[in-house]
Amino acid sequence: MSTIAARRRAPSWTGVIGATDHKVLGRNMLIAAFAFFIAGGVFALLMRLELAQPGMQLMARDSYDELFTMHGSTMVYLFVTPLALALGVYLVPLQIGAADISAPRVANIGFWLYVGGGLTMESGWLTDIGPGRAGWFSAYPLSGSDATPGFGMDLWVLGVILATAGVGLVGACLLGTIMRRRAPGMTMLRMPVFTWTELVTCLMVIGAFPVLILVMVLLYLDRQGVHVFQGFNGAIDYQQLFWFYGHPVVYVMFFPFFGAAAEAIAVGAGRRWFGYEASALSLLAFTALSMSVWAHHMFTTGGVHNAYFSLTSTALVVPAGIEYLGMLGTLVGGAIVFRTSFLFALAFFIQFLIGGLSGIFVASPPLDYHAQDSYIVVAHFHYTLFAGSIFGFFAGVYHWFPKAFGVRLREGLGKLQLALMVVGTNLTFLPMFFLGQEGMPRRVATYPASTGWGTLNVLETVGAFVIASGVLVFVVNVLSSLRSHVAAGPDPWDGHTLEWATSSPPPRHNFELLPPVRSYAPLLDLKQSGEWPRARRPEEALA
Amino acid sequence: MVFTGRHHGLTLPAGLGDTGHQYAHLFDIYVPIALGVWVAITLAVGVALFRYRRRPGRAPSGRHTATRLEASYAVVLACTVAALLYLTFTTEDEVDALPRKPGLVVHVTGAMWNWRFDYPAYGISIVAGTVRPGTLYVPTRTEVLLELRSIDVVHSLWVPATRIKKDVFPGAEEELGLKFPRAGTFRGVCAEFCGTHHADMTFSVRALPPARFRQWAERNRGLRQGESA
Amino acid sequence: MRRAAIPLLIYGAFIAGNATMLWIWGEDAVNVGAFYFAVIVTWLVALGFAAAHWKQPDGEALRERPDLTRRALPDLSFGAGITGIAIVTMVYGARFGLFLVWIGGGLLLLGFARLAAELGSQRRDSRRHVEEGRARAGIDAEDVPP
Repeated sequence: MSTIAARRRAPSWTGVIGATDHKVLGRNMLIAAFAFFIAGGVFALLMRLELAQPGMQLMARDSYDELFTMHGSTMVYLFVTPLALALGVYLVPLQIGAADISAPRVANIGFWLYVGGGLTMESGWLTDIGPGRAGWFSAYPLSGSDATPGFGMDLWVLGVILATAGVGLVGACLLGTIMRRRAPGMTMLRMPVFTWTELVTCLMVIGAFPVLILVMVLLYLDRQGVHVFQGFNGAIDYQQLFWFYGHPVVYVMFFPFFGAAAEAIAVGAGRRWFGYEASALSLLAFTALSMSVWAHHMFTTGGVHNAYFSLTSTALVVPAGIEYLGMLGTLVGGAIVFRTSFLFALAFFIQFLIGGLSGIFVASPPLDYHAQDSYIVVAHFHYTLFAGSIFGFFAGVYHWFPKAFGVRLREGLGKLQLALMVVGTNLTFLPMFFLGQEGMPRRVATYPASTGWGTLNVLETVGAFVIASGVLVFVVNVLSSLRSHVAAGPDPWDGHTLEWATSSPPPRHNFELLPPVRSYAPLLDLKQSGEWPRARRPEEALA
Repeated sequence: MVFTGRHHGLTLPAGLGDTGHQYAHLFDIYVPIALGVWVAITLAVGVALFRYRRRPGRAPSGRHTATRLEASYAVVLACTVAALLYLTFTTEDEVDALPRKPGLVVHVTGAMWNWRFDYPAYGISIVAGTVRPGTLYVPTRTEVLLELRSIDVVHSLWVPATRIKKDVFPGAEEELGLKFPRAGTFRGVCAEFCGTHHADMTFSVRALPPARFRQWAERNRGLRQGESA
Repeated sequence: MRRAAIPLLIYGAFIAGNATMLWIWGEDAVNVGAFYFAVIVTWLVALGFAAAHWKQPDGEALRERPDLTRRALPDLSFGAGITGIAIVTMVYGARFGLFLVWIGGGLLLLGFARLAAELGSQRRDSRRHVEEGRARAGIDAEDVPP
């Protein structure tokens, strides 16, 4: 197999530094993000070990603060956000029939700023006073030089600036690609659902990321002795500007994974996404609303207009409900094959729903007054980000891995990973709702034994290690599948979109021949009209 | 159901005072709806999975739009949102309302990592946190007004039993009205991460019947715990 | 106007409405300012794409004459990678020590020089590519808008 032989060639160092092919860039970004995921995951495991019992057992209090700060920062700035865009960098040009990403050199610079920013932030671990330890949003004045002095915290600020600028540049290139590089016939309303989710993601990136860069530059100056934020207004302004980025980024970390899950659902059900136009329109509404909800993180500050932000936050129910209707409508009338990618996508929808419904709960200020800064909120956003987005990511990985690497991942190991992760995730995050309701605050390294929270915390710690074992199974699966030498072929799942019309992995310019595009499932159209050979699904080949 | 605002079980007993009841009122509407929606969607997915699993001789359906269904679904969702918001806004008006004639005013000062509770009417000053364990005494069935400020970073005063917290900022005063319907001892914490000993910035709340509270206050008139610390 | 920009304009109108609602509701200047910043960025980008006439491969042109519109793509841009790494080095140096700023600055100049050379040769390649395509298609350069 020539394609597999090509894949095995070791990349040269100039090839890594100067990568401009969107497939190489996307792959490098995925690998970097996954490395940060492992680091952030180890931080989480250490935190869970400390929290398993009341009292302090393993570490100093400051070490715990560093761990949760770096866990959150690594996961948000260096893993999920870059990952969301990396999937797009790899897949969007293939889905819209483009030869490459727009401004590939700028995307390359963005990649290096992101990796460099990540290393800058993590290099705080090497300083004598440790890395940043003021939380992933580092509220002022706690993040000021009086309350949190030290070199590591400065490196945290610089790392956030670099990584965000880098991811922002990549997002801008991706937006340009979607707007300017679509194949003939690929109108906006014929783009696959995944590409739509990347489009709205990029819209949030260009609107919100510059604000974070601004506020981090101001924080850096403040830490160097220029007084920027002062008094009550300074503290509120910092939070306003931070959350103006901090909430849209939550949706940056959601939409592309929703898109990946949607593609896996549609292909698994053997039919195109239901209610496409409604889904596309509601994605735009979803995005506009998600730009308008940021201060729901500040209900308890007494410094924002709660009613407005409660209104916009609760209104998210409408577009989210339409997307769920699309998912159900796709299943109904399908011919469903239960592949790993499909099952991960299902888990995404079912588990994310818990995060979404608890999100409606915390969008109500009188309820949020209790939930804010408690473990209810921790449970809520882990259900959206981990039980949601990461499951959507794995749905995408199992779906597109054969496209990128020419071989399928093993289904058996994939289902084992899914089972471990579903059990681990719910064991870890479900008890947090109860702990929060009982009054356990976030970001505490210890809690009094008299509270009786030890039992649920032990369960959570066990759950975290079950998740870790699931991730380990995934790593084993990737390594062993790459050695399998069984070529997946161009279209292993009987796919619907253009990326399945080219070889796996695709050639440098992606397409030798561009099929005509008549809808948002161009390949499915051709298969239905008999102009394109229907792929034998692997399940049929076995039968 | 164990996970409710009102009943015993894994949770605290009923929320205290007005804020506790208001929370329980909203909670008992929001949470059953959320659970119902989750169960309904999960069941629908389960049924669809079973009914539409791939079987020989059956091709997937070609129908992929239902504009009227989508539009009416959106209207149903929008009505639900409107109803939830109405409940939220009316409840929030009650929760945010401050006592006009509070029966007790306490000045609360947050500092890394202690609380100081000053009773201007009695000249009492109590300190709780890493310096010493301490207790905020309040009368029951009385409107208590807490005036909150911080001298360093942002803290947040949270007595979980009252189901409400308020952030405590430097450079500004925030107000929080509480009412304790029955006597008892409750846990209070700092909810906003504030540095190394954030987890230890705790206090107790002791709610006493008004007569006993007055007794306590008179006996301790002029007590100043914070001075030497 | 390019119709592809319509979704961006819809979205732009939506957030403009939300920002105005927040403004009327009486929020503070920082809050509303950040929101309008995002609105303006979105509108500028959307209008830019709506008005764009620069060389573009989408539309029916590519289908009929792919040889005319295909651009040369960079396989590798060492200059871009060096530029990115140089920026990181300089920012790190801002806190770690001035010497890194100098090293980063040198790398940045190197990166820019490489980028300039790459862009120049890419332009020459593209021109040659198009001319060859036109020659093959047997048409004069004047017939095809640049």
